[in-house]
Amino acid sequence: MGNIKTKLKITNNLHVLRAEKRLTQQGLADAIGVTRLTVNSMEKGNYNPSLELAFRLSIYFEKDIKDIFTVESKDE
Amino acid sequence: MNKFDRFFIKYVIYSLPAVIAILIWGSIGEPDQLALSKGATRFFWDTLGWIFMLWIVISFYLSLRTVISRTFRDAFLSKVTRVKERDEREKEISGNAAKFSFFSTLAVLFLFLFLSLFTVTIGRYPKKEISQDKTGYISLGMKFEPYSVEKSKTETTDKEGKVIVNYSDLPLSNAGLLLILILWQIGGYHLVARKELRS
Repeated sequence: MGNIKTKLKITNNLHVLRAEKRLTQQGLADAIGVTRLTVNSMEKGNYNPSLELAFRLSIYFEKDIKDIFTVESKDE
Repeated sequence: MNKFDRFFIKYVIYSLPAVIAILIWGSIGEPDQLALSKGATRFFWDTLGWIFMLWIVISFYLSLRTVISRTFRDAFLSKVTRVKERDEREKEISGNAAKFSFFSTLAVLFLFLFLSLFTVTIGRYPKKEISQDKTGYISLGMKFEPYSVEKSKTETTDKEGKVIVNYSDLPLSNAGLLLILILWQIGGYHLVARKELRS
């Protein structure tokens, strides 16, 4: 197994999942215990959530973490 | 924060107008004469005086508690400085801002410390003493006196008699104070960081 030292770019489809549930950013924020600004930052890709918050999202949307977050190398 | 602390904080904030009033009154009028006056003037002067005295005692208690108690400091100073940590993203932002504040404050403290320590004198010799084409001089030096003798001088007697306690200022020099603040900042950081790293 090789070393992975390149920075990873993590994207998410939170806005799609949120739209499917017909939720506002504030509604999702209240459900997972963060502020609306944090939801907005995550959707824009400006903030990567902690593992705990990622699992909270996973539980809330009843999806696997890999179905919410996609990892790609930043060099690609 | 317990209910006593909340009450004390409210007292310090809400009695501030009375404190300002007595300070203005004391600077306009003659405090010695006001203390000996009679009637309503004496009543108001004494009332404001008690409020002021209590304000100083409570302010001192809150200052001391801010230094000693971590939970109180976090709760009290978060409100005063409007630091918001409602979720993990805000905690990260707060951490980055605190790091910036820590390093920039430390840099300023180092600068002030060096400015307090070094002495530079550039001068010109008197005409009578000029020799070997040397007309002027530059003198560089370093001086460190953590204790200020001037500030520690206290009066032991005044016109009314013997003074028992007289406190007015910290008996530390600028360099001494800056050094304590630098050591406190670095020490405080490492104390918390090491504790968290070990856990």
